[in-house]
Amino acid sequence: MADLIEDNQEHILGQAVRQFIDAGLQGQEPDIDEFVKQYPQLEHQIRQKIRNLGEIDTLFNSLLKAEESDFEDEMAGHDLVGQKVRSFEIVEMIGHGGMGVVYLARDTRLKRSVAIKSIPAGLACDSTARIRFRREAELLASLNHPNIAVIHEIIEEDKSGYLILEYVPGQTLAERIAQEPLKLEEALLISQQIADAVSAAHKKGCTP
Amino acid sequence: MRLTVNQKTQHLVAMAQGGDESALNQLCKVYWSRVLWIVRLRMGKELRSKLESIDIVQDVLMCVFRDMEGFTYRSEGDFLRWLSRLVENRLRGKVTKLHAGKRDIRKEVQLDSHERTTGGGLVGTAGPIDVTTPSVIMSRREDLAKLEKAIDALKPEYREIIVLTKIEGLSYKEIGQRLGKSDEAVRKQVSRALETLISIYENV
Repeated sequence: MADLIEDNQEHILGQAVRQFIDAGLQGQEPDIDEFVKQYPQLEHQIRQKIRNLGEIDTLFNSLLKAEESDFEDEMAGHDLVGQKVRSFEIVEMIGHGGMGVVYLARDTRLKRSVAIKSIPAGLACDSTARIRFRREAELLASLNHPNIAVIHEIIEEDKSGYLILEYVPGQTLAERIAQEPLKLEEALLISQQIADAVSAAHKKGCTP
Repeated sequence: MRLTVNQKTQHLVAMAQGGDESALNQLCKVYWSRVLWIVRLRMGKELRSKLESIDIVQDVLMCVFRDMEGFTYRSEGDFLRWLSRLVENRLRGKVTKLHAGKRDIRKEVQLDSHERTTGGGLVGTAGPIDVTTPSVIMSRREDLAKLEKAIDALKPEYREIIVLTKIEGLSYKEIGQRLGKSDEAVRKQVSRALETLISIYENV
């Protein structure tokens, strides 16, 4: 009996959602608040389904249109390769995160490889981003741990900022995992190193 | 003056057509992950599983860009559809070839992993596209993977109609002509397919 009622509810829900979608497809711009009044018991489920429809639509739309930031990222990534920042010759881009692009560079004074993290062009003029950038540098400088890259220097210029960091060659964890699954011992060893490093950072006041 | 996405792409397309390599590289970087996803969604599970490496997608995209002569940019949607259609056609051609010869696929990154490693174990020379830069679309890859699974789980008629409306961007009339149905029947079918898609998407 309970199953029957549930089936019936599912059926009504499906019908209601189709009705709403169909009205939209006909260009009627149906009002969800008005619509759900017809189905007070199913309001929550209907709203959830329509939200998911919106999410799916956004995914399709984002596939069919490049976004401005895609180009900006590219520009930022290409700007520095081949150029010189003080005594550092930028060789190639090796990574990119939310807070900056990372390059491999050659320290011409000390004849060594370094990693340079640059603040993205769009954020360089943003004072909050600059403060975070400086804080990251100070925090890194305060840490002394074998599993945390050493910071050598911070360079701040008019419209740009750079952290000169120790270059640690090798793969990222994601790359390593993509190659083949980690063995248990290996995974434990890596986890332990990560936990050690996070704990060291945490003790110095670096919290999420 | 700030250029819009359309203007930027148009500009790059024109430069690439004139033989500018860096414009070509930039187009590839901006578009490859979108093209990859569109092709994946359109190809379906069976054909997709025969393509081992995303390197192939990148190489093919590069060739398509190089042969771009005679193409006129009209809109972003058109451009992406055009690109992914050409890439898909070439990929379909390659699938047969690929499986004729012996390949050690273990050395390649699986298409399903969506990522390309920069470390060792990658066959061939370094490709033209550096995917260490996560584009906007890369940041949505988990949701896209979910959507892909949901679309794969649809029955073929629903799958087809979702691809035709949402990816190909065809009107109900155009779809109706293709499938021999009325506009209204197509629209109803789209509603049913979307409703089913939402339900599967929620549970993936």
